[in-house]
Amino acid sequence: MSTLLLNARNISWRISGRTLFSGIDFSVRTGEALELRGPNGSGKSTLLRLLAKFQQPHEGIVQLNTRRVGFLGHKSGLSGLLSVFENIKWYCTLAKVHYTDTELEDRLHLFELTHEKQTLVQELSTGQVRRCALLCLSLAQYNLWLLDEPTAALDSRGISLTQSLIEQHRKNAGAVVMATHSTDPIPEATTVELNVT
Amino acid sequence: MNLYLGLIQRELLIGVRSGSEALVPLAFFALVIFVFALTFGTEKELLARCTIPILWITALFANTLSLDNLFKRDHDDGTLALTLLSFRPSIPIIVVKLVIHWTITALPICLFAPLIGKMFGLSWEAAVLVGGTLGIGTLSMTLIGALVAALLIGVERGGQVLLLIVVPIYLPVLLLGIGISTLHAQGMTYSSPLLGSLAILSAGITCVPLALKPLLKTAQDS
Repeated sequence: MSTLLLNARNISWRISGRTLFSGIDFSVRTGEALELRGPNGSGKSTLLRLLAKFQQPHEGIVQLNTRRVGFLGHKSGLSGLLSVFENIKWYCTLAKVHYTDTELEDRLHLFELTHEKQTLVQELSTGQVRRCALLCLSLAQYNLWLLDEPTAALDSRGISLTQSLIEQHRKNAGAVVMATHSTDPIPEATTVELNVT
Repeated sequence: MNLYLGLIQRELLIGVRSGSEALVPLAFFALVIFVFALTFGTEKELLARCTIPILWITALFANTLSLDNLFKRDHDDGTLALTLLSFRPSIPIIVVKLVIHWTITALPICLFAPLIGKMFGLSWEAAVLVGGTLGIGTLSMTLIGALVAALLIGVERGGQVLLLIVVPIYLPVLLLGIGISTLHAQGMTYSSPLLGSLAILSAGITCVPLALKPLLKTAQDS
């Protein structure tokens, strides 16, 4: 039986006196995926930040029924002055999950980051940083993922990997809310369309 | 790994690797003191009289130099957002961050200041007192400065604005700190300014971490 993880009711947000979006209603249950779609400037990233409760919406309520929420925005969430492995270790500590070194090595291999294990994140390419951020997210065992264009800067293999991660996460009773421009929609995902007003 | 041990390890690694964060305040402190020593020349008595204010004012500016980076790096790379979103308690994490920042940037100055004081003609007792009161004062400054740094986190060239805002706010800490050493030099009891300094520090320890959490969370919008 699925559990309600996120409930957003009548959300609205204004910026400089202009209503960016209003009357946004949706809920997300375990195993579900929700795509936020719309042109640039329509408020997808803002809506994700409201869902993460970084700010309160001007109207409406956001109800999170889990405290294990993973957020991947435009910023990687990785410290450039730490190596890939040090960042992973810190991420796991923060998420209170434990993996053996062998398990981490396997995951690094899956994300094609084995050779970059000891490399400082600031020395990686943008795509590699994105892979590393996704790797961390996949390890953290969060119930709800809030993703802002997770496939940006990824090559085709990275995009496939992200899609399979999302599928796996949903099968493991997780849920995903994702802002995206991708032409390849998540299977059986609900879509919320935002428009520039 | 335990959250706080992991955090201490992470912050120390970043502090050491950033290089400038740890070294610039101490290098600035040493350089300004050196310039004062040069300009006073043979006026050793005058230098001895001015040593305490020189040490305090230099420590104040050295402290503000490092404040801009206190949260900005973590904000820019998104790690601050993850920490605040985490189900882990954010306030103890912020406290540990502040303590490590103070340890890296201000503690070396507090340890170095008594040696400078002695070189400039203070007695050992007066020099150690300056080091101790600088410890209390720089902790208070770090706490007060953290609030301003959090407010200016998304502001372009926030570091320059930060300097203009924090220096006037630091004045009570500065005047009480200098007051302690001045009263001590005159052989008078210095319990009043010391209690004043400790009161500011206590208020900072109690209130600042609580105020920082919502400030930093709001800053994630920028």
